[in-house]
Amino acid sequence: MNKRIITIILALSAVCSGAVAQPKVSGRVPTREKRGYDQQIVIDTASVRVLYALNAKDIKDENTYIDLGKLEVGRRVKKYSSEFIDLSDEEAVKWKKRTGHTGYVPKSFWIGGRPELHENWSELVFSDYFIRGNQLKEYACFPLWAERENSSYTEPWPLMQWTLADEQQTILGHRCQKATCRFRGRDFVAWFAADVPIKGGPWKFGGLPGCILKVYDVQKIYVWEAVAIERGTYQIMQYPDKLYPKSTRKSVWQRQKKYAEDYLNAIGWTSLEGKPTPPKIHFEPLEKE
Amino acid sequence: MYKRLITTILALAALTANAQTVIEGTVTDSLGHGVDAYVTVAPKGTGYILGFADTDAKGYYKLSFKSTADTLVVTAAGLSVGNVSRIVANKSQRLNIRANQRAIQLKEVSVRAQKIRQNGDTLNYLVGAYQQQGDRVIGDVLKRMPGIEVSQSGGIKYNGKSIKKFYVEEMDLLQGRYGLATNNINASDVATVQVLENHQPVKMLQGKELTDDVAINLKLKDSAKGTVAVNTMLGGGIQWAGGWHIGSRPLDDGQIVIGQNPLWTAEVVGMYFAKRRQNMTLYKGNNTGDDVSKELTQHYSSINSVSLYPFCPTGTVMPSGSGLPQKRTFDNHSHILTMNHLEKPNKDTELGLNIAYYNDRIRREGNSVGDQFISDDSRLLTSETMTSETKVNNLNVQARYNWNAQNGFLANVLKFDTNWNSDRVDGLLSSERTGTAPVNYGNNRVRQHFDRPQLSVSNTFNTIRNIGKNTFDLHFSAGYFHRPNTLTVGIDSLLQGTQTAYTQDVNSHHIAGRFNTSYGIRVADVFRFNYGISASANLHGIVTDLDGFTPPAGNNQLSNDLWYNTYCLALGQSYKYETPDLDITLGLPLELYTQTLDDKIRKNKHGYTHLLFFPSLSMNWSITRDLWFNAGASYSKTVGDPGGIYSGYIMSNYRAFQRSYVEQLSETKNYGANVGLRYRSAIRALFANVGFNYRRTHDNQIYGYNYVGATSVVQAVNQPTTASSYSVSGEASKGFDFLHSTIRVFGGYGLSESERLISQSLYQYRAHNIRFGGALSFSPFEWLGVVYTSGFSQSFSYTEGHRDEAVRVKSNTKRLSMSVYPTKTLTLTLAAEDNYNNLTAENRHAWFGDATAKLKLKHIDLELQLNNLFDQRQYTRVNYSGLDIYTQTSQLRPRNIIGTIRFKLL
Repeated sequence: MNKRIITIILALSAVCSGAVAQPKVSGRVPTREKRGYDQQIVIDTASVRVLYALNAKDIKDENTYIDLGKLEVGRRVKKYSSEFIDLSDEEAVKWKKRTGHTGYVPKSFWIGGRPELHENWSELVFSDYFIRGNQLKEYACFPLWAERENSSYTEPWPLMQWTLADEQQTILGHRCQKATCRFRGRDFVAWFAADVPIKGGPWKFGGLPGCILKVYDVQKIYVWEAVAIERGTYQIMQYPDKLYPKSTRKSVWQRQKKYAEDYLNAIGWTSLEGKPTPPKIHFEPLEKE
Repeated sequence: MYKRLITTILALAALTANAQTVIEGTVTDSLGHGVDAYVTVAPKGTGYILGFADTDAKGYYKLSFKSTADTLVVTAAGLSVGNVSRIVANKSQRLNIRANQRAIQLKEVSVRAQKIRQNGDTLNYLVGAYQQQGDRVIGDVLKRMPGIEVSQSGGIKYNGKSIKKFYVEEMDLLQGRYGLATNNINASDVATVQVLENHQPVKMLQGKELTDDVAINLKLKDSAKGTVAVNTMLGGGIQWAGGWHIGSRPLDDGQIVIGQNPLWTAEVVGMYFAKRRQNMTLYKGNNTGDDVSKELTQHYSSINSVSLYPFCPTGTVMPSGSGLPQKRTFDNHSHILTMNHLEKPNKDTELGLNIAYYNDRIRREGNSVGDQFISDDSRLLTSETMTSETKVNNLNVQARYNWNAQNGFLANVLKFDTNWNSDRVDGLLSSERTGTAPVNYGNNRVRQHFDRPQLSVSNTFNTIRNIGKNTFDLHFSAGYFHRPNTLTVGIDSLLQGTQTAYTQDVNSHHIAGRFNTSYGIRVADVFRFNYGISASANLHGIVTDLDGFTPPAGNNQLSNDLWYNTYCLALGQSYKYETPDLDITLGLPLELYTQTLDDKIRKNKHGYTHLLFFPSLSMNWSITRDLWFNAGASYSKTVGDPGGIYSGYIMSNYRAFQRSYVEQLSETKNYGANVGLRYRSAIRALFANVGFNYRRTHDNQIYGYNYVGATSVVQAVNQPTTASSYSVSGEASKGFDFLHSTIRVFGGYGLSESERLISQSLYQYRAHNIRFGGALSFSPFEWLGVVYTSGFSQSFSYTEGHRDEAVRVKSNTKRLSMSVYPTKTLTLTLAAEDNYNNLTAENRHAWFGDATAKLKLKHIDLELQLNNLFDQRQYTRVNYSGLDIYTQTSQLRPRNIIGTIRFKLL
C-alpha cells in the first residue's frame, strides 16, 4: 500500500514539476502584413546584440531551438525580439516583392528553429519587448485570425528583485554569477556577466549588474541561454502603434493564455460538419499571474 | 574577569565584522556630468558581487552591504564607459569615480555552429569566427572559410563555382579586380563576408530571371566606413647570392641566380568606403618575387563586351615555369599603380572609373631538355639553356555608367587598353636526332627579340526595360584591336660556323561589333520564352612577312596580306520552365554564318555561308533547400577561324614554322554533356560538389608535324579527327567548432583521347590524369594554429600499342605551416614544403622552408620573413606526354631575408 502511494506521489510530482512540460505553441503564425512588418520604423541603432537560444536541445544547432531571441542594445532603447521571425519576414517579404505573390508564403521561408514549430504561434516568440529608461512596453502579436487582438501595454522595469548568490560559472567565455528571484508565480535562476555592462537579458529579465547570459525557471520549462554576443550596426525597429492599441498587461496575459490553450474556440471556429472543437491544451504560461 | 573581557572583545569584533558598510558617491565623465551606469562591489580577488546600485541622473549611487573582506573592488560599469574599477578598504566612505566616455568594444563570441548564418539565398560568414591572430587582410580569412576557395591566381570559388560579382558594401567598385580588395582590406575592418547565391545583379530582373550565379559582398564594420584610410608598407632585405645591382642586369652577365641585392618592397594603399562614394588607390612595388600584378587580374567583366582577339600566332621560346609557387622563381622589378573610383549620386545610379598601370621587368633562367617523338624509329633530343627578360607596360582604363533601378536598367562601359611589352631571350640550343639515322645538329646560340605592342578600345551599351510582365533587352558592343608585332631571331651555328637570321612581322587588326536584342515573354507564371535577334561582324586584317626562312619545296610563300571577315545573323530562342525548385531550359538558336576571305597575295576572293544550329538543354533542380542537381547537354558547330586561312608561312617561334591554308574551311563539331550535384549546409558548415563532364569534338582537319633538323614544320591537313574527354571531379569542405578546424578534400579523374599526325603517320593518343588532396587547418591550443595541405597527381599517357612502355608521372606537394602566438601581438610562423616528382633524376624531394615573425605594436606592424631556409637553388620538373618527355630545370631565388614595417598614414 505504502509503495503504491509513494509511486502515485512520485508520478504526480513528476507531472506537476513540469519535467515534461514545454512552453506552449499552437495556432498559426499571423500574417506579416497584419503584424505590420512592412510598416516598422527605425527608433534607435544598436551597436551590440546578444542572441539567446530558447529551450535548445543542442545549443550549437539552431534547428533545435524554439526561438533565437535577440537583445539589441541602443543608446536610448533596448529591444528583445525574435531573430528567427525577423530573418523569415525579411526573406519572405523580399520574395513576395520579387514574385508579386500574394497570400501565404511557403513554409520553407521559415528560417531556423525546430521544423515542427515552423507554422505555430507562441506568445513569447511573437511579442516584442522595448525598454526605455524605467518603462517596458510589450507589443503582443496574436495568431492568425486573431490579429484584431494585437495590443501593447507598458509596465515599470526592472521588474525582478534579485538575490545574489555566491556561485559562478562560465558562459560564452564570461564569468557569470548566480542570482535568484521569484517573479509572478515562478522561481527563476539567472547567471549574469558583470564584465558585459548591459543591464538586461532575454524577455523582461533585467535589473542585474551585468548582462544575463542564462536564465531559467527552476522547473526548466523556459530556458534561455546566450549563444552569441555580436557587434555591428543593428537598426532597432518598432511596429506601428496603430496596429497595437493600448491595453493592460492583465488583459494581454489573459488573451494570450486563451489563444494558447484553446485556439480554435478563441477564434470562434465552428466545424461545418458539426465536429466538436478539440479539448483545451495544457499550457504553462511563463507568467502565472 | 579576563574571560569576560575577552568575550566582550570577541563580541565587538564579530559585530564590527558584520556591520553594514555604505559606499556612496558619484560616477561622472571628464566634464563632471553624471553618467548612466551601475556600480558593483565585490571582495577583492573573488569576483562575487555583494551589492550593486544604479546611478541617478546626476550620477549619484549608494551601496549598502555587509562583508568581512578587508579590501573591496568597486566597479562602475555601463555600455558608454565600460568597466572602471577602484580598490578600496572595507569601510563606509565616499567614492567618486571619474569614467571617460568611450564606446566599449565587447569581444564577439558565439557558441553556435552558425559561424555561417543563412538568410535565404545569403550566407553570412562571421569574420571574427574565422580570423586568427596572424591574419592581416580579408583574403587571409577567406581561405579559412569552408566552402570558399581562393586559388593561387587570387580567383575565388564558392562550392566549386567561380564568383561572378564581388561587392564591398554592395557596390562593385573594382569591376572584377577583386584581388585588390582581398589583399588590401584589413580583416579587422570586415564584419561579415556574405555569399549571395542565385545572384541577379539587375534589380528589375530579380525574381523574373533566375540565375545560379554566386557573388560575394563584404560588409564592413562601422569604424571602416566613411573614413579615409591610408596604409603604408616599406621593406628591404638581402639574399644569400645574386650580387648587388641597381637597375637592370645584362642578359649575358653569366649569372644564373634569381633576384639581386638589395631587395626592396613598398606599398601605399588608400581606401574610402562610404554610402555614396568609394575609392581605392594604391601603389605597390617590389623585387622580392611577389607578383603584385595578380591583384590587377580581372576575374570577371561587369558587362558582356565584344571579344577582341587579333590574330598573332608568333612568340618566343622562353624558359617555362617550374610548377612551384611563383614566389620561388619570380625575378622581378614590379610596380602597379591603380585608381578605382565610384560615385553613387542616387540609390540607383553609379559612375565608375578604373585605371590600372602595371610595369615590370621579369627575368627567367632555365634549362629544358626535350626528348621528342619523331617517328617509330627516331627521336629528337634537344637541350636549351635560356635567359630571358620581359619588359611589361600595361595600361588599362575603364569608365562606366550604370543605372540599375526596379523599373529599368542601363549600362555603358568604355574600355581602353594598351600594352607595350617586349621579350628578349638568349639561349644555347643543342640538338641531335637519335635512332636508325642519327644526326648531330650541334650547338646553336639563339637570340630572340619580340616586340609585341598592342592597343584596343571598346564600348558596350546595354539597356533592359519591362513591358508589362515581359522584358526587352538591347545590347550593343563594338571594339577595335591592333597588334603590330615583330619577332627577330638570330641563330649562330657553333658547329658549322654559320649565321641565320629570321624576322617575322605580324600586323594584325580586329574590328568587331555585336548587336543583340531579346524579348522575354512570361506565360502562366512558370514558362518564360525568350526570342532575340543578334548580329555580329568580325573583321580581321592580317599582314605578315617572314624573312630568312627557306620553306620546303612546293611552297615558297612567306608573306600574307588578307582580310578574313565573318558576319553572323542569329535568331535566338529559348524556352524555360521555371518554378522555385526546378528550371529546365531548351535553347534552339539558329545562326546564318558568312565568312569572306580576300587574299591579296593569292588574289583569291571567296565567301562561304552556313546555317548553324546550336541546341542545348539544361536543368537545375533544387532537391531540398541544401541540395541541387544540375544537368546539361549541348551541340555546336564552328566553321573556319583566322588560324586556318593563311597560305604563307609564319614563324610561330624559331623552331616552328606553320602554314594553315587548306582549300576546305575547318569545321569543328562539339558535343558536350554534364551532370553535377551540389550540397551546402550553413548549419553544418558543410559544402560539397561533384560533377561529371563529357566533351567530344569532331574536326575535318588535323595539324601534321614534320621535322627538319630541330625545327618542326606544321601544316593543316584535310583529314577528319576526333577527340574526346571525360572527367569526374569533386570537392568537399567542412568547418568544425572542435579545435576551430576546417577540412577540405578534393579529387578528380580525367581521360582524354585524341589523334596526332607526325611524319604522315597517325597515332592514337590517350591520357589519364588523377589528382586528389586535402587541407586541414586547426588550432589545438589558443597559442597555436596549424595548416597542412597535400596534393597528389598522377598522369599516365601513351600512344596506342605502347601502353606497356609508358611511364607514370607522379607528383606530390605537402606543406605544413605552424603559427605560434606567444603573446597577443607576436605571431611566429614556420612552414615546410616538400615537392616530389618521381621522374626527376636527382633531388626527387625538393624541400623548402620559410619562417615569418609578425609583431603588432600600437601604431606599427613589423614583419620579418626568412624565405627558402634550406637555400634550394634549382628545381627540376619532368613531364611525359606519351610521346615526348620534357625535363625543365628552373633556377630558384636563394635564401633571403626581408623586413617590413607597416603603418597607418591616415
